[in-house]
Amino acid sequence: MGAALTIARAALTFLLVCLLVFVITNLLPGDAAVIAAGQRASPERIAALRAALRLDDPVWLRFGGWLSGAVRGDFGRSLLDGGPVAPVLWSRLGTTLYLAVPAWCLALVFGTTLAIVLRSAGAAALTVVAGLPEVVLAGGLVVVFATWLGWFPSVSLVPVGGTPADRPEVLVLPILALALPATAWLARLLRGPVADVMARPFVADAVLRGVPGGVVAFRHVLPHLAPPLAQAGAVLAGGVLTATSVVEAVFAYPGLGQLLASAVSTRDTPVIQAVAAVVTAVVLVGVLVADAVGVWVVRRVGAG
Amino acid sequence: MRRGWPLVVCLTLALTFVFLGGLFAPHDPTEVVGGPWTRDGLLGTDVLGRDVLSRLLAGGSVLLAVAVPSGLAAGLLGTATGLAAAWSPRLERVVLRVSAGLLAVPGLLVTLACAVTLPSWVAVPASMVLLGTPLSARVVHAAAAPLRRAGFVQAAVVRGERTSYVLVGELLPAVAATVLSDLGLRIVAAFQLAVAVHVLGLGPAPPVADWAVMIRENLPGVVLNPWSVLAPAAAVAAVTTVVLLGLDLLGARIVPPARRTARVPPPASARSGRGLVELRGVVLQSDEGITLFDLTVARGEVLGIVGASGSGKTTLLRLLLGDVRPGAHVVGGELFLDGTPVAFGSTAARRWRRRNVGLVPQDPVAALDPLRRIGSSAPLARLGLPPDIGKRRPHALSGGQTRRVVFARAIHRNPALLLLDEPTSGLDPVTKALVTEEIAAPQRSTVIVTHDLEWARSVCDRVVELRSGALRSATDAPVAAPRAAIAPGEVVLRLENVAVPAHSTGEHLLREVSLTLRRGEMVAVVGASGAGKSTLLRALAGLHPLSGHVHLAGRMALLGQDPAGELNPAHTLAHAVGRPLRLVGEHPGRVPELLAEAGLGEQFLTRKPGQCSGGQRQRAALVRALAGDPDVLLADEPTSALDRSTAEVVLGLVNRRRAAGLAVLLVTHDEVLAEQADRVVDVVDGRCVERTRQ
Repeated sequence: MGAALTIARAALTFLLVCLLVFVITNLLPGDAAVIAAGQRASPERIAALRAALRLDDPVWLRFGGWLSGAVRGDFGRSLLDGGPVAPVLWSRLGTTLYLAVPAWCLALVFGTTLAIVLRSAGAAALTVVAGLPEVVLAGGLVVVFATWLGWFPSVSLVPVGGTPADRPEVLVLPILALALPATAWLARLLRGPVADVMARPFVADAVLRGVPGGVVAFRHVLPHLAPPLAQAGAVLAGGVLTATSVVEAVFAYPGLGQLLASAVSTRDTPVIQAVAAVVTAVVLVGVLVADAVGVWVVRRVGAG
Repeated sequence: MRRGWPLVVCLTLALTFVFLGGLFAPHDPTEVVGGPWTRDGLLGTDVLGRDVLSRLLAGGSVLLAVAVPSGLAAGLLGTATGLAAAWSPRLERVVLRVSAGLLAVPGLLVTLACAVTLPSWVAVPASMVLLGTPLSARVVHAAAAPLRRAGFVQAAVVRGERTSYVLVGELLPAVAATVLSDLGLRIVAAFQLAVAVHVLGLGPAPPVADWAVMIRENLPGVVLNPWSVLAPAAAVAAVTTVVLLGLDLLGARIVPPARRTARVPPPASARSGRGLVELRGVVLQSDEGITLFDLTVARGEVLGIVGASGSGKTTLLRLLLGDVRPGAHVVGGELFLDGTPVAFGSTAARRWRRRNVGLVPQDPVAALDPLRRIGSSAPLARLGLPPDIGKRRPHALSGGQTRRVVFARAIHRNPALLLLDEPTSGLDPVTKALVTEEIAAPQRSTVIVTHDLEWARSVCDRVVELRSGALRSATDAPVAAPRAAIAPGEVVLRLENVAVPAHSTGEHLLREVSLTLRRGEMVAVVGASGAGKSTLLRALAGLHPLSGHVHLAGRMALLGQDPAGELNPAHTLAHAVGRPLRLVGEHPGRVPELLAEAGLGEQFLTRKPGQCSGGQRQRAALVRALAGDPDVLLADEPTSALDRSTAEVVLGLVNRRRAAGLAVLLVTHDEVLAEQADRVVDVVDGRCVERTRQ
């Protein structure tokens, strides 16, 4: 019963976010047809396109149509080249995961470690790093590691027909630019939960029994951090995925983020809606996993 | 706030400089002055041969103009919502649910979606208000909600302040540090969004100078002129850092954190060699005051430590182990373990207690990690525990089994020192026999902390008592001061058949309470912890529901029991004491005189609670409670955290006011204080029984 309710709530959130993005990107109903028709289109051609794209229908009807396609994996056609959005979307997502997954894992591991090791110290430094825009880090990393040290390329080109795994060195700087602020953000967020667990009697008891600090952290603190860590991890996944739009633009890396960025500048609304749906789905699946972790912990301690 | 102004001026000047930087540029930021990416000029030229320094000076204004108003709007709206949510349970539920959902929505995604149909300077504020406001509300609510029950908020409610004053005049200043720090985060979040949107080419159209665009367009030439990228990147980093740290610092100025004393370096004295553990002149400072510990645990000795709850028994236990509880600091004295000087909190202390100490904590159930299995150790079987117990988790154990498991853990390495914290509470006969047997084990020192003096005398070689901030031998009884003789006047407070429900269950905590209080009288309510004494006071003050008849002739004031929370950390003592005076229409010119009456001189007028000791705060809180000339003072443990001399000052002040007609109803554990009252009422099994005195 609880699980069904949680899934229903996640599905509702997914619907609401998709609707929000759909409504925002459709605030000016005429635009899509004008964009699709190109620069020197005649009014008749625009009118014909409006009818073909069903732009004169009310928003809720069009949203219904989009949604029924989206759940079947059909995200419509790009306004720019008329091709289907879905194949491009999946291939770009695959490329982006080479950046997003390592950055996410690094942030989880080092963010948690920092939160436990630093506790209340270093608060200002974490806040500052978490506040740095990715592009600033990307610029700084390129100057230091590409220009001065020459260890990594400053542009992350992927060979035509190959995968990023063929040239792993191009991934290092973009991953760092994504992971550094994410690590600081996570460490800041987890400091509260860490302090809460540290204040619990069994931790104080372990300290008073003389158990070494590292053992206390691993045995008694880390397992209790699993629920907040999973929640933060879900939110972080969405943050890292959208941050790729900036980092990929800076490093000319052909991923999902660049697809989103170019779609925004060309006002290719079907692509934007599709990317938003994918990112939201990733976050919400993460949230569901986090809820499951929370339930698992509660079961083990026998409080449920 | 006075100490904050220079910082506000500096921050404003810095941001104004960034905003107007273009005026100081040596060249027109769009003018081509040389070849692309040359090193001419201070910072060289950019992709089109324009002067990097000029573009750097001009490049922050658009970002700031977008980010600062967006961040301010989201932060201020969120603060207002968060404060309101801390007061209204209905709004609280909505805010928490909405913000939890929005936390999962990436801000950049919404901003980019907005940027499809809106210009970037509208898209950033729109998404900030949409997503940032609920998050700010969540943060401010989290800081403000626990303060709902803080002493200074309740005192304001009891003296009849409007809700709007309580929210804006008391709660808002107390959470000012959180609000400002959150404001910094919102401005920086808006800055990050604006930078991202500008990097993606959705910002100001070229050739307008902009830091974000500069980083992107100059990256291809970074080898030729690294400053074309580094300079704008450093500028962005500098602005975000200044905003975040500046507002954090401003918060710390408005609400000074509690005073800290420097740590004392480990002592370098000679070996003592007298006992297993020795605390020599250890002075512990905390919010509750200063405590002095001089104690030696001899080898083979059974030592009892007794004292009222809150007197610091468990703190002393930790000190014996070389550990200092959070929130307290050792400001002097030495610790010897096995005759060797050891610093508090050091690795040496930790190693020593791991080898030599067995500890049975006060609450064994809470002391077991709920996620870990019990595991096996030799004494488990000897203690009559089932064979499969090692595979179970703590929740699958009964209370008695848990106690035996924790006891087994304490003795299984045959420790030289056994520490028992309140071992008699809830003991079954089997464990009791084991405890007695283990205490008698040879070659072992045992320290027993308990509130049960009789039991301690029966099993211990020696008993010491922790009272009024120091250790004494348990034999010398405290000398009671003579009771003030004040003739009672007319009745000011009459309770008839009052019942008080418990906070959560709705069952009655207290029933059939009938009590009259006359002018000049002091009545003490005495009873065990959890009997409902404090709840009765709160109910009389109107902060907790009650049924029955309460007749009050006059005004009431409440003095709570949490010494750290009685005063608003953001207000000076003069402001705190002056407020009740203004509320009854009096001139606040009497404030210095009132504070002086409690022994707080002129220098305290401008101090904030964080700059006062616990005793000084408690006296100021009493002065505030009495400032509006109430007819009835409801005081909850008014002297429990005070040393003897401060307690006498407080009682003297109360007695002077009683002579002028004040009636006092006080709640206490302290029999010495109860002796001072005209009448004593015992709370037993939910009923109040008046004690008959000879």
